[in-house]
Amino acid sequence: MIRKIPVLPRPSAQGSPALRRVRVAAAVLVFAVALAAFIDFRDIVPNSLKHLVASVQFVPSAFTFATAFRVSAFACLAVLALTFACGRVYCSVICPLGILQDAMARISANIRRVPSYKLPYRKPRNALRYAILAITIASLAIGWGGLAIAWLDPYSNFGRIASTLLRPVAVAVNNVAASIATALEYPAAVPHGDAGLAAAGALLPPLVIFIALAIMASARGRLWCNSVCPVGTLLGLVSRRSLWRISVDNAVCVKCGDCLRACKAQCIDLRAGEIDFSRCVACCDCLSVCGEGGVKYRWHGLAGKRPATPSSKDKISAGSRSQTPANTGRRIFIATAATGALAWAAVSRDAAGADERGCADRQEHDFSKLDDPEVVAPPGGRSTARILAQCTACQLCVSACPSRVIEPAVLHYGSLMGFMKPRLDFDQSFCNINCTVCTDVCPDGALTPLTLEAKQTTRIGLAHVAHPRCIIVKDGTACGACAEHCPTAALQMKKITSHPDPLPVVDPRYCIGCGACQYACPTHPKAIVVSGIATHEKAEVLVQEQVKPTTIEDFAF
Amino acid sequence: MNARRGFIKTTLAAGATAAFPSLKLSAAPAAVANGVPDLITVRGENRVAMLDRALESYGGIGAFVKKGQKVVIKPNMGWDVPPEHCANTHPDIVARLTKLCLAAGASEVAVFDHTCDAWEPAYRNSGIAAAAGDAGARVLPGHDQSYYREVAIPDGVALKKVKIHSAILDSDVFINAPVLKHHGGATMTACMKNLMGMIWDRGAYHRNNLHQCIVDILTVKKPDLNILDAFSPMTRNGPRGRSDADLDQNVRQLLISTDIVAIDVAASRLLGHAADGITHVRIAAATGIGQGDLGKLRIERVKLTA
Repeated sequence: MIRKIPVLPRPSAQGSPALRRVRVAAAVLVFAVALAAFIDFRDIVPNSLKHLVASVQFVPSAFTFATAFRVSAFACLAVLALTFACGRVYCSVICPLGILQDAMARISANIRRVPSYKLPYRKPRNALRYAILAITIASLAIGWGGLAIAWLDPYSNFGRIASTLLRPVAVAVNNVAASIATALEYPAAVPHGDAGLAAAGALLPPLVIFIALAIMASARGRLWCNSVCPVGTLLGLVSRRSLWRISVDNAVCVKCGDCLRACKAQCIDLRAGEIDFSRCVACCDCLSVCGEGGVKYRWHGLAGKRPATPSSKDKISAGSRSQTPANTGRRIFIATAATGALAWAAVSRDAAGADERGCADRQEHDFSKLDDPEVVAPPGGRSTARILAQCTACQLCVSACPSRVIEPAVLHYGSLMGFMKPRLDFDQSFCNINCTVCTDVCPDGALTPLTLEAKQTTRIGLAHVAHPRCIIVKDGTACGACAEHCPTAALQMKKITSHPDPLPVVDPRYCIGCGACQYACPTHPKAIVVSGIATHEKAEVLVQEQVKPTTIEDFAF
Repeated sequence: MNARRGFIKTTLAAGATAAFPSLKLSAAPAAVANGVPDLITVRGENRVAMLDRALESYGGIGAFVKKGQKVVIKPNMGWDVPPEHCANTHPDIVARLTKLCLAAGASEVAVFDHTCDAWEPAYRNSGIAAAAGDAGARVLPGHDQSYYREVAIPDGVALKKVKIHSAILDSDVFINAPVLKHHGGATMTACMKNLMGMIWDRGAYHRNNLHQCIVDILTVKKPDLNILDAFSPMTRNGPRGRSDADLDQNVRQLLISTDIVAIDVAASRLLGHAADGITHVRIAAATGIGQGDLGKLRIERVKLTA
């Protein structure tokens, strides 16, 4: 009898897409959360989630590690461990700027109707990438870390792009939708006050970086990550000797070049049969296109190179461990880490020193402060020096502030170090005394978390009044808008000798510099202005007795 | 709607022409013998019971709200503080009013305020958005200029035009439901001052003779009914207040009147001011917006026991 022989399925030409699928799903999730955190103009995303997605980022976590003892400080160590275990997964799955570049490349390819990547192998640009990493670390040592880190940190660059470029677009779309919905009498739609465009000065740099990224990503994949980004370079120093690595199995590989063309990092050298894992971002695209199983994610242990001979399957001779160039990488890493640690320490000491120095020279009432007020740093910032040294200008506090009072500074901090770092703009809004959102979300410890009680007594500036500009003096009519808004009762309408009617008087002991008075003041120019103080202070709390009942009789009328 | 207007006119006329002898402050509280009083105040322990009792004197909210009408309630929910600080109208009052209006057949009850603090936290933490929303109100935002329409004020002394929230302009019945407080700028905030929350540009008032502006707008838009929450009025550090220590816990009244001047005169007495002690109330009385002389009003004083 002739039996039917079952037809065996042929080996899939699609390779093994499972890891890639997991990578894409994880990246999409992380990116969605990160993007939502920054464009969330209706304050829907929980602040804890905003903090989480930001504080697992390498640079913010490293800043926290160097300056504060918090759980998020260990995220950078976890990233290093993850990289040591299986390569630069961070760059593909956690870093929102990396994922953004993948999205850019894909969109660009779709528009041009070409495959996402079709790139040749390129040699690493070691001189460039190590130079940038060295400059970044050196800048920390000389106190310029606040500038270099802020502008090279991929997460912070993403934050600035999302907050200053993408968020206004989202708001504008919402407003158009809301006006249509309102016209149709659909009540749920709410327009957002204004698109919140940053000042042109603060808009331009993120725009330039965004365009540069878009061009680099669509032309050369992860070129930014492998030549500019100091985090990519640092992680590359670790990942070149990861325990699990993607490598070419030369016994199986037929050198068809599929993996090469799919590689966004341009790091697969098929001629040599090697993958430069220091540049690989572990995207697993090569695994999913290789029909032959010629590229594999596999255990390499502490060995330098996986033995190339097909016969020695999984044996690693102990002798091969210590000879290879592996040590070069390790040495660079150790040197880097040591320099970095010293630099961090120097920076944090500097900031602490500035904290103490600033206490002495608090300004008393000064009318010139109205025309030229000092910059006001958000609560939790402790001092302007600390903001300059530690803040990476990621804009998360700017985006998350429910009062929309935090704006990216242009030159308000008096130097480029402060460019795009948060400042409070009391002409736009004021700082809500019952709110600690900026300190809750800040991922890099530049804004120390404050309890509500601590926030309510944290003085970030002082209100200065100029009575000659006040409506009550100028026009002789009632006003008191400032006193109306003052949450601490530091500002009270009081009869003073020079005028028959009560005028606003600030008791500096209770003023926390929230700016409500300045915001409410209806005159131009403002008769009351809050000027920042270099070092934040603890304000006193006005203690008042329970008011006595004014109604003695039953009804009083 | 005409019936309602007619009713109110009659009531006002009755109040103005009533030839009652001046009620002294020490006069024993007594219900008005016949007709509808000009001002009702209820002293009690529960805001909802007090509101119900006050409305009873009109024969219920149905005296103001007819079937199919659009109602707008303008509470004070300007501040991001919890209900117990009494910087905002108590949510119980707004919720109860909403329910009563809907039960009377209102096609819609809108609730909004142009807040001083950020609008979403103020709506949320005042407790009003949730309470009114649960009661069936349409809680509208007031933070965007697009919600406001310009209205000319031909008889305005300081204010010639103003942008008023559409919910007010498009309503059939306008209920003003503020909370009584000390006010750093206007001395007192009660029914008249609360209407600064129905306009867009408050700064224009402050720049332009605050007290006169508060009065001017009443020449084009007056509430049909004023309900004043004076349960625990804030007597200092207003209108925001700092803590419960700012509250006079011993007042426990709820006032209700169709006459916005009369109710504010009574309110100023509650805060210990003279009857003509608040500038905008004095100007409004002189302009003829309402009755500024408590002696000429029929006042019903009710004490509820718990």
